[in-house]
Amino acid sequence: MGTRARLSGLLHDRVGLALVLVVYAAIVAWALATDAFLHDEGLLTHLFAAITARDFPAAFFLQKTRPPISAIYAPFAAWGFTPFFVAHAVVGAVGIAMLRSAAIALGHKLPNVVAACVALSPLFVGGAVAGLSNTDAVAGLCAFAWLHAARRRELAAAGLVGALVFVRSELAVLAIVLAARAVLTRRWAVLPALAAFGVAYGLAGAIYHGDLLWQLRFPPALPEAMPGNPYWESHSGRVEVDDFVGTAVAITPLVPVLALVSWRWLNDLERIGIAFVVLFAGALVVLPMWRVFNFDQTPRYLLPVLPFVALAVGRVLERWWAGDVEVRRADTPVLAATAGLALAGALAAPHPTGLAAVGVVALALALARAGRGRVAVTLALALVLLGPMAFDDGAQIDRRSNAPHLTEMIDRLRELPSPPRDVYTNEPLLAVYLDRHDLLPSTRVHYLVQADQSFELDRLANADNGQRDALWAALAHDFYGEPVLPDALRPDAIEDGSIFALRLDARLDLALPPDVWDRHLVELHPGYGTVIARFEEVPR
Amino acid sequence: MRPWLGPAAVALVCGVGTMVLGLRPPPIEPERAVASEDAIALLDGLRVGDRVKGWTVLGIDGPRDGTVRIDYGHGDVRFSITVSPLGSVPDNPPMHTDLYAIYYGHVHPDGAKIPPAAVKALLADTARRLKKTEREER
Repeated sequence: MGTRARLSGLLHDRVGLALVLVVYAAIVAWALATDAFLHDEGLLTHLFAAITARDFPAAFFLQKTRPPISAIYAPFAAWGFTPFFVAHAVVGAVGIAMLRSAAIALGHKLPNVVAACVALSPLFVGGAVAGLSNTDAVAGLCAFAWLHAARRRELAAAGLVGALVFVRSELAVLAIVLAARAVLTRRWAVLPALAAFGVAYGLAGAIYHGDLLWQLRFPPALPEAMPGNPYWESHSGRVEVDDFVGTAVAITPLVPVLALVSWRWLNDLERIGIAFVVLFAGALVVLPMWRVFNFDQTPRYLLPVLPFVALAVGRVLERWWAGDVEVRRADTPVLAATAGLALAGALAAPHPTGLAAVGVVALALALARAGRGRVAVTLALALVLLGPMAFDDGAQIDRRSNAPHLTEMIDRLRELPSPPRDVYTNEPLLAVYLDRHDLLPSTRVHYLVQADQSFELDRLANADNGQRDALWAALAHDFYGEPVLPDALRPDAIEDGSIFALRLDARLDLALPPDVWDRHLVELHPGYGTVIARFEEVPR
Repeated sequence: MRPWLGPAAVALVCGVGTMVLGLRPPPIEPERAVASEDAIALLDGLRVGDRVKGWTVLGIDGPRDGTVRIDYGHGDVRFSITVSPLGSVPDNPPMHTDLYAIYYGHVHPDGAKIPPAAVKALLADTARRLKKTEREER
């Protein structure tokens, strides 16, 4: 076999998939070693799984814990952070392999391109190692595609989507699409399959809660924001074009290829996927404006579109590879409009990554139309390979953009004349980072539970059957450190000389009212994003 | 018309746009604390966002108990210069004026090497600014 044929084989054979997974694993290993993607939402996934391991019924029947994945990750979370992060990344890898199998079953000629789009998505690979539940949603949708296309188990696939709604509630959009299709095509059995998990979970939960309507009384998220929470008061909920473009290319830099997809090239499942992508993206742009279920414009919320975007991209690239390029009049104007959107984003963003991505896709299309389809596909793959390095700006899940003050906070703590015995903080990453990097080993980190965090748990858990107390008991020794509840945070409960390492958060005044605490806290290191202060028992 | 011309033109425009916008100077971190007028006056008009000897002023904080802190950044590396009334801090300052001691530290990330010439140049620039203010106040 010649070199050219061998290279071509990599686009569809198992060796090619193995190469994709090796690159994915290398990024995961690097991220684990550096904690480059340590993220408070990832720690939350770990926390939910850990309390599920400690008190299964109390945690499993709290809808907020994303019960299906908390049950899966519980044994790994009980083992520690690294086993949990590795298990989470492995679930992502399994999802990649499943989507490739689905692509093969759907007749894709370049299934490894589909796999690479997912594996090297800056948002996906970072989120997978961070522990974000958004990548579990992606892995779940890959499994849905696999069940639907490769195994031909339509009802099982629908059942899975019904369960995924309890992982990420925004996936209800896909459940609605599937239900609408079931009604239109008279596939009535799909409807009970979609509802199966919810009904079974609801009935089991009814026994635990002693209330058939417990899912309505204790919803998975606050129906509306906590009153007076300055976080929400400072958020307009509007989508900014630079954020939208940055998010799109962080999902995959090949996202502009979507502009070149023809409905005719897609089969049934892929059409369902594109309908979902359009409705889902539209919903996530609109919902934050109304602040429904606490949605905001966080880029990772859009990640579930990835498997279906990857399948659609695969359809375009396989035509380029085969030299079967259909010249459609609309392609250039649509691509130019996409470039206009990317330009508008680039003018407001620090880096013109979106514009670069559209430029490369346009160049690839030009090459394909000039009879250089294989060069075009190679160029597109180069863009995918560059993704995690060059198009991660808009993802906003790396530690530097998520907690830019953390390193300075730790530097300042380490500069203190002697390691502090007790540190009180509102930074959820501090305890985990210190522990994972063996820094300040003799220091106990106390996490100041924010008012909105305790409000949420109190609102979403059942006090009548003991669930609320059981959950607080399960959290007693591990809630981003040793938790200090807002009610327990009083100056007379803090030891003289304790250190407060605070990130300047809009909610800080709710946890530490200035009229009570300012007299007790002596600033040692005033900073811009973080303050280090010493607690003095006798007020100044 | 050749079918590849349209997308090639889009690619060209995007490429030129990417190059032009990519060559913009890096954005300055938003000012997270407003430098006081006293600190700006003491430092002869130095402001957040100014570039000094190739370093960017990321922040100016103070005076707090007489001390002003200037955060400088270059790429991913940051460090701070602090200005305190002479004699208020027991350590010997690497540079001083008639009235102020000038220190440096808070290097970030941990272990990053700041070229000695850069430290010296920024300390000297700070001293020059302080001396000018001192002269004007006399």
